[in-house]
Amino acid sequence: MVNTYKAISVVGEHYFGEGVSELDLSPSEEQDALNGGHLEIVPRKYRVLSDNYTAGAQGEVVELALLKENDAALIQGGHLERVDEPKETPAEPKPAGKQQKKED
Amino acid sequence: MSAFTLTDALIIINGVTLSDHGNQVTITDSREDKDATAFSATSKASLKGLGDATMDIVLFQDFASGKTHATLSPLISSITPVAVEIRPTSAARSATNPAALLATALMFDYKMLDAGVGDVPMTTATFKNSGNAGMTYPTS
Repeated sequence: MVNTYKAISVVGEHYFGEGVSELDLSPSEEQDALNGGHLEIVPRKYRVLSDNYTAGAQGEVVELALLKENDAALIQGGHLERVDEPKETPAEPKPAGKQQKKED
Repeated sequence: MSAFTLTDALIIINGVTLSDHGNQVTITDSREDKDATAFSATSKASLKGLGDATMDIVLFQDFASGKTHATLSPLISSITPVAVEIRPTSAARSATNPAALLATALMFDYKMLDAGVGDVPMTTATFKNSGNAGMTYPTS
């Protein structure tokens, strides 16, 4: 599963691209990049599903920066689900209809 | 401070509270004993070596979503550390209710079932520190 990262060093920008990107890194690649100061995790929104997760009450939407395997463990364990932001789409043009005249 | 009975211990593994399934906790913070005895010594001399920290947690097994197995089983194959915290009581951390915290713990042992016929199925999880921080005892 991909996670969202931001490159925070010149090396990070060289290897992973500038700015924010979605990457499918292995757990060890992720740890190396984070510990080396090349990437940081961009917080993501999750809905809390269980009644025993400490970061939020059941049903609450919380923003967390989770490592890939911890994200997977908590999703697999039934504690969290990802709340993906709807992608922005350009507004559809309004149909060019006749403007109705107000009749008295 | 007087003696007390452990009835309300708090167990948090990877952000998940499993106290209501807990039955026993063992927190071990140790240092290697390195022999530094020289010839002509009349007593053995010891030096402290590297530290080690372990938490053994015994829980009632529960296969429901969000409970024991669902929370622990993904961690045995994971190489990413998680935080494990145990407190004597479920109250907030304080000087009289210090936490034992393994901020970067890896689970090295998961006994999914450890019971005989007619027993209540228990499970044991063993966490060890994976970073230099070792065990800490935060009070706030």
